Amino acid sequence: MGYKPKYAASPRKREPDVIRTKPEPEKKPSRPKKAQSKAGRIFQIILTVILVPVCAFATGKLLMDMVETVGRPKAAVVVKTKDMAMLDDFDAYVEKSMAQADSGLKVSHLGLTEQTEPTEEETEPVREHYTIPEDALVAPKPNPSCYGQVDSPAEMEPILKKAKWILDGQKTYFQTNQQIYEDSFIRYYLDDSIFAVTWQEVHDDSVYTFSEIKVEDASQFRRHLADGQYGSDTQYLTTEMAETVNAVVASAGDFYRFRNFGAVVYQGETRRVEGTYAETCYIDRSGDMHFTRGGEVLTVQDVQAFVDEHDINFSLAFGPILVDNYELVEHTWYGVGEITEGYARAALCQMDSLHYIVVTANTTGPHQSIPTVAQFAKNITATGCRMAYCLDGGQTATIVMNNDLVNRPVNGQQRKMSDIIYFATAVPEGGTDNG
Amino acid sequence: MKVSKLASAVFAVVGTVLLVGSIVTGFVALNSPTRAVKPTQEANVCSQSVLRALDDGDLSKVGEYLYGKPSLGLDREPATTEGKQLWDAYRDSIAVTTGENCYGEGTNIYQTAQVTHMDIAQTLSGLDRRAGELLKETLDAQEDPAALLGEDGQIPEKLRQELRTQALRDALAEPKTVTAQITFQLIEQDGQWWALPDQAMLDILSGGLG
Repeated sequence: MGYKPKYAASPRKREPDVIRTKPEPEKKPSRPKKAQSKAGRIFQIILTVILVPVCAFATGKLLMDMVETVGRPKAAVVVKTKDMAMLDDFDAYVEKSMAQADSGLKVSHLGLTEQTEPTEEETEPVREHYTIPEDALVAPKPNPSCYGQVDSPAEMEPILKKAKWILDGQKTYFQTNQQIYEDSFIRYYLDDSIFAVTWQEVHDDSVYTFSEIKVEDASQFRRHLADGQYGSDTQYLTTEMAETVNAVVASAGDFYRFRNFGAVVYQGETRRVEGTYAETCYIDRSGDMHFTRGGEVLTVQDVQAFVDEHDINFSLAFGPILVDNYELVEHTWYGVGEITEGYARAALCQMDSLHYIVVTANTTGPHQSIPTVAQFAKNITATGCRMAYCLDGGQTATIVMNNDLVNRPVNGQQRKMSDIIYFATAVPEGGTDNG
Repeated sequence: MKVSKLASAVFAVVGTVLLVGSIVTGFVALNSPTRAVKPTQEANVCSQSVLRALDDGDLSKVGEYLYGKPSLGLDREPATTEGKQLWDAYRDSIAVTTGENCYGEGTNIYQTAQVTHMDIAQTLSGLDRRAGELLKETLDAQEDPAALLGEDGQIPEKLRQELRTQALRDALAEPKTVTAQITFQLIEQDGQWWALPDQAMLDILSGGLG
């Protein structure tokens, strides 16, 4: 007898072995493939072979045009040459020359003497030579009656004639047929020790302000630092400093306090030397300009040796050199002044012994271009100067005459700065009236 | 790989390259220095024509090349015989030297040249002294110098004229020269090239007088 529990499970039928596999995913019914026509295939090939290169070419061309446009500035407005009566002026000159020749034909020759009546040159009064003492902080005051202004270059002829003795045979860049900026006039100053004429011209759609100065003594070409001393932190407007020192004509200098650059020489003493690539301009005690190039003088001792050798009075540290012994100096790079960009510019030029031009280039009125250094230098060489050197440009570029600002600085306003160069009368009583 | 997928991939790559290229090119263009315009053959021809006319002393022809065709008053002869003599001598004295063709600077084209010419002012300085010397020589050659005078006791105008002309001739025989550098701009308008003179060139056209 076997034991069988009450609730024993009944024998189950053994189910057959089944190999369990993952259920197959439901297959989506596939769309029947469209048979691609021959025409469609050809069209696709054409699209790929032709359209892609054409688009690529068009894009490349567009890029080149963009580079071309961005890389080239707008062309400047061109001003036509004014009508002139050149042969009329020539005839007038010939008439004057023949009249001069006629003045040599005197009846007194009948006496067969070798004496001739004195010419105008021989009756020129003996003029005293004036000098400004080196330690003078300010120059003598100019004579207000020696200043004048005219509307056209032709009206300067009698002034140029009176200034002949101070020009001492030197030719001026300013001529009576000068083409001046039509919205401007000409200012001048003439006394027994200095002749200055200031005017404006248009070059490359930029207004250039020129001030041409001839002095009798090198002491009349001077440098003034703010507060009259090296290293002052106070800054002034060019007009303020010009008035302080009684300048006839003044220009902003090199802004020596703004940047450590170049060799700074003041009152014959080297104060600072910085920068290996700086080109520095030096003025000696005869009023002549000298240059040192980048890398030539790198220490205070080197500079002082140069100063002693050439009897240097003061230096200007900005640059670059534009003209050296009548040769245009070209630069592809310079450390200051953004030379390859359009910028308001300033320069000091030496024409001849004790004969200078200070010049700025700005936007004024309808003339809204400003030059690169290369363009500026090209227009400077037209003056025929022997030496030329860039001063601090931008808003600093200013020319002042009779305490009035002549050029239009950037944004129409002067910028305060640390120094000026200026030309002054040496006549103690403030100039003899030659007007 | 299917053609369509290949084409898509190519387009994607080309597009990416163009996008990156345009951005890079834009930055480079903004920071690159201005490239000077290149002078054309026509500009060179114009500048050479101007210089040739100047060298030949044909100043009125130079005026025809000037931009805006300004009237320079050079299309007539000087009013007097002495003026004509002087003007002819001045034009003959003009010699142009140029070492290079015109060049581009920024958007402009320029031509530079050295021009040597008579310095009229310097040449004629001392004309009065020379006239006086000639008068003295003339008088010295006379047995009775007083016979040369007119009824009013003055030197007759005819003699004066002769002496002035001779003094001028003597001065022109030893002219003083000066060399100036001129730089004029070349401008194209309506397919034709013109010259825009600088002050130095205008001075030369007007006889270098001031």
